[in-house]
Amino acid sequence: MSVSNRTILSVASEFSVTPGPRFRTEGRFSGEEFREDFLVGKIQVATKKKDRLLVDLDGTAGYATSFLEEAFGGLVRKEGINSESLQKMLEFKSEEEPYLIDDIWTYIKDAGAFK
Amino acid sequence: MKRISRRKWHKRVQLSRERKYAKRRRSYQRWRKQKNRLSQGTTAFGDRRADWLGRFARYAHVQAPNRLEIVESTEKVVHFINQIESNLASGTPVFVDLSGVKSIDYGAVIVLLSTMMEFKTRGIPFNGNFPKDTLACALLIYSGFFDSLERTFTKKEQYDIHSREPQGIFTHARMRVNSRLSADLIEAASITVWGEPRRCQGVQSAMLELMLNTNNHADLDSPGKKHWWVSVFHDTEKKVVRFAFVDLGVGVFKSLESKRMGIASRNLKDKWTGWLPKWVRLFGAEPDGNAQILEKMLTGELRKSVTGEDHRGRGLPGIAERAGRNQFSNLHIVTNNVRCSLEDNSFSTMKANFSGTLFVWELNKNNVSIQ
Repeated sequence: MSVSNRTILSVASEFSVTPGPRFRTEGRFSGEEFREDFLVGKIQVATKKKDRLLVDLDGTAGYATSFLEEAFGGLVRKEGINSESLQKMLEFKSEEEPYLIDDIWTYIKDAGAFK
Repeated sequence: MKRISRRKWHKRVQLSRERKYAKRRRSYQRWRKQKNRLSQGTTAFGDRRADWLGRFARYAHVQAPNRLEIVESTEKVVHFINQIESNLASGTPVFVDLSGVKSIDYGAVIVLLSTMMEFKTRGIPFNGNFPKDTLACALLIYSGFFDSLERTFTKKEQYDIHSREPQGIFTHARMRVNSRLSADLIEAASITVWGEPRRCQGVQSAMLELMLNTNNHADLDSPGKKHWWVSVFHDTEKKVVRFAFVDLGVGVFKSLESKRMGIASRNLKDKWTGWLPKWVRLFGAEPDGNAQILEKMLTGELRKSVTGEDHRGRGLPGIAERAGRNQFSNLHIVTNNVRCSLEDNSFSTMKANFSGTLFVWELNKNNVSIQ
């Protein structure tokens, strides 16, 4: 769904209310699965439309940090998107756990630094 | 009237028969006399109990401490668990004598359950008796410990243990991360605490980190080979729910030690390999024991110094952060030779070594939750 110049990806309604571990091998609803099967596709759609992608983190049972690191840090490490262009492209909404937004930007920055 | 034979051969037969009967009578009288002496002052119940105990004569008998409380009496409980586990490698059957247990806590229950399962799944006989103390006995009954003693288990990826009692406590074991299960447990807990289903994202996050730690680090050779165990204890009167999470893996410091040495092949590329020189560079000296290492781990200083990455929210520091944000309370950790209570910020080293990692915490109405 698109709102003005934003494409929205809601983790709870489009992926799972119970996000899980880092890798698919570790359990269901992993960060790897989210990145590969949902996030990358949405980024491509948003890029085509010249939209920003708003990732809505609210409504879930809670996140493992490895899930977030693999999903968003993995964009830099594994999908080859540099952290500067992600800063232009991505936005986050987390009213329930606002500190997650800072955490995610840290993961993206660290992934860029240790690539 | 009986006919008496006067024949010689008949007399001989009768005499021989009489001697045989007399011998049997004397033998029986001797046995009866001995048995009567032994049973003087004992009851029929005592006899049955002696017979029951006789079944376990070839078992290694391990006496439980009076206070089977891993948070308050950590050292004694860890020593008790180590005594049980010392029989695992040799395959010696174990009988745990719980009769003297006067108090027991949730952490000890789950450690005892998971240790029992290590024996049961390898087909090594394991048994025990009831504590004489009513409350301690009730907690063990509700945990499903005694029901499980009678069952046989095969090695599986998951176990669900509970008692047949209506107040039964559920214990779950898995090898992989199961976010659905933890979310369900938290929802049930929130009904006890707040009277309605709520989300407690801090607890969910901590449980996911712990499941991941077990999956990734509990076995040095191959990940995903050890079970994590979780029990949830609902105190409906006080509206408090206590969580106990354990894995019987190598423990935090054994895992860290392997990274220092780069022992396990999968750790060769690990960012933590060779962490000790980095510690020395940062803090000016080698760590003053594992208690200090755990403290620096929980504050995130160790991660920052070793990997150069921000600690924010990750692994153990992430769990401590969530406790600090009041997302749960009363966090206690026992791993290898260290015990820690985050509530009063106490870290202490023990003489006994617990092979594994135990986390105990509680959820109460003052903790953060989302409706």
